[in-house]
Amino acid sequence: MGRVIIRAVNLRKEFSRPRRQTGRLGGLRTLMARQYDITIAVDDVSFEVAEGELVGYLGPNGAGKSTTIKMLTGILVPTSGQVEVAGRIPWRERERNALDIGVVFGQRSQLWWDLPLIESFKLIGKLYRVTPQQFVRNLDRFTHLLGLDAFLATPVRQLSLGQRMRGDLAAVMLYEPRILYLDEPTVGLDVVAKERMLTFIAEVNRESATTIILTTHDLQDVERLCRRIILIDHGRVLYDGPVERLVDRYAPHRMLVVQFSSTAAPALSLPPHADVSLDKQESGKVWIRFDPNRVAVADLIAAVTRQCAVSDLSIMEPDLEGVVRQIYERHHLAS
Amino acid sequence: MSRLWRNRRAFAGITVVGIRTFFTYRSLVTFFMVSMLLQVYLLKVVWTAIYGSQPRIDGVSIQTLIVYLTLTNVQLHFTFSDVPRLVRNRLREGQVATDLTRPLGFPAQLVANQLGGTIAGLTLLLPALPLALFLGGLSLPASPVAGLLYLGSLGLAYLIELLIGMIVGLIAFWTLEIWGIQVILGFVSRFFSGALVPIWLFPGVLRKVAEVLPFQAIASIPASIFIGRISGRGVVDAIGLQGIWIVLLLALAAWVWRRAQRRIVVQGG
Amino acid sequence: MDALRISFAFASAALRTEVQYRLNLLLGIGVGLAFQITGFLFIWVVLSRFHSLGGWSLGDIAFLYGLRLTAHGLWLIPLNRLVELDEEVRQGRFDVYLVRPLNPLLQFTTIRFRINVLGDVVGGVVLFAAATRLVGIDWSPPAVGYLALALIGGAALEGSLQLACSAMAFRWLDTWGLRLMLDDVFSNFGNYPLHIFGGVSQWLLTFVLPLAFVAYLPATVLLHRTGELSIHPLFAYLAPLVGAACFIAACCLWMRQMRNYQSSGH
Repeated sequence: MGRVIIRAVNLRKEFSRPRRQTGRLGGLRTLMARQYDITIAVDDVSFEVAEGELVGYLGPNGAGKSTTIKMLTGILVPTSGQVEVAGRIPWRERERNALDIGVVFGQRSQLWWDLPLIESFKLIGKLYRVTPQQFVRNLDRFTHLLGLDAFLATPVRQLSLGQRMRGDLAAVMLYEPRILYLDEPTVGLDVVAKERMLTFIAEVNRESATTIILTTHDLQDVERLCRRIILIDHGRVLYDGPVERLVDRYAPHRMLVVQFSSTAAPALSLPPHADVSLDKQESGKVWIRFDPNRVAVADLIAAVTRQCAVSDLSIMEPDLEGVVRQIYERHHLAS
Repeated sequence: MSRLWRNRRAFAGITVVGIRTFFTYRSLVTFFMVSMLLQVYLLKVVWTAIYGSQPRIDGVSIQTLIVYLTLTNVQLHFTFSDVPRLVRNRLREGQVATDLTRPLGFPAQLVANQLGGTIAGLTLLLPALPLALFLGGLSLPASPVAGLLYLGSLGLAYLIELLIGMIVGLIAFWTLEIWGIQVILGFVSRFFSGALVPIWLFPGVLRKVAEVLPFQAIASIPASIFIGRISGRGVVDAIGLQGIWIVLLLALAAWVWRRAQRRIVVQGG
Repeated sequence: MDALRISFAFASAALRTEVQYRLNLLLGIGVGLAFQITGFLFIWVVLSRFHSLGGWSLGDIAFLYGLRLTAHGLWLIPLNRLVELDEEVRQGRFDVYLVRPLNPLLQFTTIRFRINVLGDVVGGVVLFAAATRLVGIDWSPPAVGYLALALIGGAALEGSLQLACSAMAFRWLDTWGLRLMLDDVFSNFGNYPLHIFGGVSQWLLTFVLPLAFVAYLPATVLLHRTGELSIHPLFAYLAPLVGAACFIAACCLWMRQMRNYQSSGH
């Protein structure tokens, strides 16, 4: 990992929206006096990202993910707090910051809607001062990697969502930015397209050491790609660290699923251990929860098989989705 | 008519909707009001300059002319028909389908909606009248009788503009792009209603054209009655002319509506 | 300059897009033209009978009218996109300009082109050309030079006010009424010789809302009528400068207001 390239310190963003008056003559009252509602989208967010990291930025809808990214990219000016990207304050030096970053919005394309895809690429090339050699080389590389040949000449408005997303990704890679912000890039994509995109992102990070911030509420993306995740909800960071530690800290248990040969419920006596408990029992099947750090799996399996005939057994990893949900719930209860 | 009475609650309901909708167009509504006031002011200035030192032109003094122009402009603001925009929106958003199935006829719904807008508009127009007086000019009617006849004539003028709006709006059933027609009709009707140049000052050919168009019945006739330029026997003729236009336009509107209904059936609703 | 070159690339792309919608184009130009021409009809009807308005002949007024209309069309060409800012700000589509290495105002105005504004320009030029024949101006090199400056300055002035109004879109999300009102005032009052207005109005339309500098004052210079002015003729000669200054100020305001952009969604 390189040096710190993104630094956010106590970031806060409040939005004020005009409030529509309701009730009698509501329309007339709105006409006369304006009142504003203030929403706190980002409450207090701090983190640092080193160059070359691939970070997952996770949170439910309305958590403040997109708002944070918009402050990092210079789209929004923070209400308070500091933000620094590659040594610059993004909203103060937008144009210079822009040369170092690439942004892909999942819901919105940056391509020219009515023109063929290749025309968008050319315009982007001009915009980012890409040299002709660099342009040709990158165009070839990403057309190939993302399979764009078939529709380079098609107007963007005629492309499917998956094709358009690939186009957006290629466009942003043409000028080889140091930092990539991917805002919900897999939304609406089918399984195959999603997989292709995730592979591409991993490769870009690996090969070009591009720093990538991936915003998503889909845990699949995160599990697949990120070593580090930042969890955000209600504008605050709940967790910031490696994915494994998240699991270990919040849900260190695993599940041993045992299928017995006979459907009759056997009288199973579990070893008297604090970290072993019966989670669920159905006809002929039990789920045993245990902490792999405290209990040797082999011992547990031996203990079970000694008591009854077993036809099948498997070990279930904790599900990240459940873990994260737990964290959100715990946070709500606390606040 | 009896169908209208039976559905009077629905009618009232839509009128209220019309009132509410008016206030959601905050920017637009303010703009039209200010625009009218500025127009009145501009006309006063320009015509005062044109008159120069002449006390009267064609028998009309500058003060009377200014009253006339102020009235015509304020009237146009009051009688303005929003029906074309309404029809176009309903068509574009597809709500027309439900509108057409209601017991209250579609034309009646349009009228109810416009009435709502007019009533709401009055809440802004009436307070703005003093401003119109200041920027332009107003006076008392030529006589109490003239004042009463003026109100009647104004009512008829409202009806005429409503019918024209209805006809233009129904054209949207054939082509949604009626905005071109609206813009051109807007200026033509404004010009030939006497709101910029009084009809009696139109040069020869244009005067003849103005007399055969319904637009003078929208603004010029009521205003002329008010200032007393039309009086006595002339009033009967003038109001009679308004009446004729109403009958003609009513027939035309009914015919267009019948054709529109047929078109819907043909298109599969 | 780099930025200009890129903007031209954007603009030509925008033009290519627009030409795809040919029928829309013709309709738009046609209506625009009709609107401008019918606006002049009022004057024509009046002056064909009365021959003089405040001492100005039909030709003088037509000259002023044409001058203003041409200036109006001139700023419409680069800034016609302003009417679409409200919606792009509301929908959050403005985001993309802020993450690209080019001035957002430049990007926003060149990325698309509403070709129907060409009707306004054509109308203005035609009227102006017709008027100059009626009035018989001596087109010496200084006069031509001043005309060019006056047109650019007038366009910059009117455009700067529209730009300033549209800048409030970042704050208010709806500037339609405001811009429309401004346009209304200019379209109505801008075509008349301001000396027919009373002292107060004249002063307001010169120093509060700098309408006079757009076309009236430059017209007095070209028609050799600066003697009629109640203010020093120097104001008239320096009118283009007022336009330039206002334009720079408006651009700065716009960039500053951009900080209030709230985007959309969460």
